[in-house]
Amino acid sequence: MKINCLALDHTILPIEMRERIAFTREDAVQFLSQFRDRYQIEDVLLLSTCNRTELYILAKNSHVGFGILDEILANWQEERNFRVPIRCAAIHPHKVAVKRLLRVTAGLESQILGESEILGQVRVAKDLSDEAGVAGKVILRLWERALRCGKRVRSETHLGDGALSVAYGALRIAKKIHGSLAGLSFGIIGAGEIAELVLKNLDGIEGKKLFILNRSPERAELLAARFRGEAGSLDQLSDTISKCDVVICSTGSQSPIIKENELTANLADRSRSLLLVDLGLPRDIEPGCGNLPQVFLHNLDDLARLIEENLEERRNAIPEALEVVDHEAHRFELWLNGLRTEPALLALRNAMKDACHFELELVKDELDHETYERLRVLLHRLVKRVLHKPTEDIRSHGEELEPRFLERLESLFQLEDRGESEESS
Amino acid sequence: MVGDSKESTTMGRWILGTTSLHLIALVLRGVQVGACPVASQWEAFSLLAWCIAVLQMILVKISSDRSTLIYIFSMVFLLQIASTSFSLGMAEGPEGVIDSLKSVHAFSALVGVAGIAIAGVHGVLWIMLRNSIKNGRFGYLFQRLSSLEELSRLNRLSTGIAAAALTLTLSTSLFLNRPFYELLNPEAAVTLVLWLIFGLLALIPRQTGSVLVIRAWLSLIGFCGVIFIIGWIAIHGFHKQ
Repeated sequence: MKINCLALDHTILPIEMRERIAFTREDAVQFLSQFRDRYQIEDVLLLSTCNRTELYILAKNSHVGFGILDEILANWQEERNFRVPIRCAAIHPHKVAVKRLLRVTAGLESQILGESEILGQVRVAKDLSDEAGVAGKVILRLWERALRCGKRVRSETHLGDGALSVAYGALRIAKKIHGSLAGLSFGIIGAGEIAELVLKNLDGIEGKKLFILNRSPERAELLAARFRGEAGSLDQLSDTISKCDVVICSTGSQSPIIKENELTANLADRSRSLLLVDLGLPRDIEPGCGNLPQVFLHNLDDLARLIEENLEERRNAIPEALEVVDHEAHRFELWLNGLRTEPALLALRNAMKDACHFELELVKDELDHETYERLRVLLHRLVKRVLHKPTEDIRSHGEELEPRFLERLESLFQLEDRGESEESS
Repeated sequence: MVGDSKESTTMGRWILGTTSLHLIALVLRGVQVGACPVASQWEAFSLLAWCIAVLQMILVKISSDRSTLIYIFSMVFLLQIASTSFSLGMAEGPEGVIDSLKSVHAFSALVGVAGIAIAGVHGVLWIMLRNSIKNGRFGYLFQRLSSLEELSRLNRLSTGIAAAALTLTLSTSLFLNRPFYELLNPEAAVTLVLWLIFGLLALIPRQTGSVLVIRAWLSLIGFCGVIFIIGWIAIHGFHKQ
C-alpha cells in the first residue's frame, strides 16, 4: 500500500493558472466520488485552497498510484487549459507524499510560512472525502497525523509566531494608506472561512463600520450579528464600494464580481483612496481595477510578497518544525507497517491450532470421547495461553516493530502460504 | 510614534541639542551684525538649515511622525556643510548689515523656502510610497515611512507654513520701496511663482484619505524651485544684497 500525491501549488503555477484548478465544494465531492468505481480506490484526500490543489491517494503500489495521478493531471491540463512546466515534479512517491501532507499542514509549504489557515483547510479536505465516501482508514490516519503535526509545530516551535496571515497583510497595507484603521469603513465580500478570519483581525478596531455582503445573505447576517456589522447581498456591491475605504473579497465566485468599467463609473467623483484586496481564487476583482488612480488593488501574490519581509523568525524555526514532521511521518510509517501484523497474528494462531488439531486427530482412536474433548479444550487453552502475551505485545507495540520483523515471523512459522490461502478463502 | 521609542528619544535629544547650539551661534552672529544673520548667502544657508530643522521638529511634535526625519535632516546637513565650507574663506565682520524690516523680509523668505522644501520632500516621499503600494513593492520605503495619510498631512501643514511665511515676505517687500523690475530677478520671480502655487494649495482644503497626485506633484515643483533658488543664491548672492 503506497500513498502518492499530485501537488500543484504556488511554487509551480502562478495565480492565473492556480485559479483554473481550484475546486468548489460540490466539484470536489463529485470529483472524489469517481475514485471508488473508476480506480477502485477508497483512500483519497483532495486539498484545494487558494494556493494549492493537492490530491493524495492510496494505491496498491507506487506504479499504480503514479499511473492514476498522471492520468488525472493530463485530464486537468486538457480540461482546464494549463500546463505544468515539469510534469513529474508535480507527482510524488510514497515517502515524499506522506511528508508533504505533514509539511503542508504544518505551514511549511505555505506561501506565507507558518500561516494557520491551512489547518482549517486540511480539516475541510477530510469532510470532502467523507462526503464522497473515500475517507479510508489509511488516508484518515494520515490526515490525523497531519493535523497533529500542524498543531505540534505551532505549539512547540516558533513557526506560527506573529500575525502573518493574508488578512494581516491586507490590514497592514490599509494602515500604510490611511495611517490608522480606526473609523474606516470596511466592506467584506463573501462570508466564508477567510472572510471570518479577516473579521477576527478587524475585531479590535475602534469606530469602524462593517458591511458584509454575500451571495446568500443568511450567512452574511450571521457574521454581521457576530461582528457587529451590516449584512447584505451582492446586489448592494456598488453602494457598499462607494461607502468603503477598504474592500476585502473572498468569494467562491468563478468570475470577477468587481469589474473595471463598473468600478470606474462608481468612483468617477471620488478622490478618496480605495483599497481593494482580492483574497479569492479564482480572483474576484478584475486586475484592470488597479489602474484607477485612487484604487490600490492587491491579490494573494502581492500579500505573500509583503509578508515575506517579516518572516525571519519563522524561517529560523524551520529546522525544529522539520524535526516534528520527520517524527510524525516516522510514526505514520510504523503504523502503516503495523497494519500487516493483524493478518500475521491470525495466521500464527490458526497455524498452532491446526498443529494441535492434527496431533490430536492422530491419537483420537485411542481416546474415549470425554478424554478427547478434554484434551481438545486443553490444547485450545494452551495455544491461547502461549500466544496471549506475544500477541498483546505485538499489538501494543505494533508501531515500533522492526521493519523486517513480520517477514521473519512469517518465514519462521511458514505463514506466507497460509496467509494467502486464508485470504483467498 | 514611528520607530523604536528608545532610539527615537536619543535621536530627538541629539537633534534638539544640535539645533539649540546652532540657534546660539545664529543669535551671537545676529548680535554681532545687529540684524538677521544673512549678511552673505552662505550665512543665509546656515539660517535656512536651522529653519528647516526647527520646522521639521515642530511638525514631528504635532504629528508624532519621525519617519521622514532622516530625509529632511540630510538636506539640513548638506546646507550646513555648504554654509560652513564657504563661510570659512570670508572676512569676519558685519560687512552686509541690514535693517529690521529687511531682516523680517529675509527671515520670512527663508522660513517660506524651508516650508516649501519640507513640503517638497514630503510630496516626493508621498509619490514614492504611493507608487510602491500601488505596484506591490513592499521594500525599504514601505517599511520605513509612516503612511500616505500622514505624509499628506505633513505636506499640507508645511504648505500652509510656507504660504504664510512667503505672504509676509511679499508684504514686507512692499514697504522696502524696491523697484518693480527686481521681481524679474530669477530668484525673486521663482519665489513669487512658488508663493502663488503654495498659496493656492494652502487655500484648497484637503479631503481625508484623498490620493490626489496633483498636490504632491506641485510640492515637487516647489522643491525644484527651492533647489533653483538655493543654487542661484549660491552663485549670484541675494537680489540687491
